[in-house]
Amino acid sequence: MTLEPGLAVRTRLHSASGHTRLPIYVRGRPGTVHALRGHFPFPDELARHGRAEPQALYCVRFLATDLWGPDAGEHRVYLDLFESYLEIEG
Amino acid sequence: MSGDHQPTAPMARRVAALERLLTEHGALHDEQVDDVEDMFCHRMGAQNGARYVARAWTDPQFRDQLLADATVVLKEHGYDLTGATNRELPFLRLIVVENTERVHNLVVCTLCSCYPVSLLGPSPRWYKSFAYRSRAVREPRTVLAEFGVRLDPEVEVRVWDSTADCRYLVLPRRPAGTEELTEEELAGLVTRDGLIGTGPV
Repeated sequence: MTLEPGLAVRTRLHSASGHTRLPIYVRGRPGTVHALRGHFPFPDELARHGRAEPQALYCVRFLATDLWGPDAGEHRVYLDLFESYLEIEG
Repeated sequence: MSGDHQPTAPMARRVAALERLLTEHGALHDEQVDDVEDMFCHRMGAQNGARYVARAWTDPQFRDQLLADATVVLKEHGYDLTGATNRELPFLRLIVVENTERVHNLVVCTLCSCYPVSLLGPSPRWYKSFAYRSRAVREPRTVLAEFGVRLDPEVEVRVWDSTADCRYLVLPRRPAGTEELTEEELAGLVTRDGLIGTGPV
């Protein structure tokens, strides 16, 4: 499955017990796929087992207001997030 | 250096002791240590990023390639990572984001301090600070203003939080009145902060 640019996604509300590259401030937030960056070893697994299967890494765009509330301003924040962190919105 | 009794920071003393032990046991050669030092002090640095920026300003085709796939361009144009101690570097993807009249880009790593070291040199202290990392994604316009970058309200701010396997480099706007400058002179105008997005050029 490839998530196409423009697709509405939401980050999972997962609370990792170990290493993760999903920052807390973007958990459970709606965003839009910006680009596929490639496939890279999944860091959450890599940290635990020393090896990991490559996983799709997507650049996802967030509106500041979806991260920080209505007074946050107009900027956008882009993060590279692994497929496991994302679910398709709607 | 054994006759030198100047006060030394504990970390520097520990590093020196380790270096001595490793060279005594033949695990490291002086040339290797010199090479790494030379790499961090001279070969890695913003002059590398600046070179790509100046080329992009003067060669539209190169600019397009850089924005489309900077990793490939770097490999093609021979940026030499041989001997880089940061072994992950050859596997990372580089993304170049372009500042325009309507868009300003800013790079941060909120999780740690990810940064294209080979193109910018060792990162400045503020880049690793909790203040910069937390505020850049929350109130980038205020942070930029504190760095002296004042943007018109209609300029869109894009913050790139390098959380994974990509590193980001900002392609600043070419300053006005630089039409007569050579590529080398243009490269001289580009600063490290400009390549992070916290400086105008």
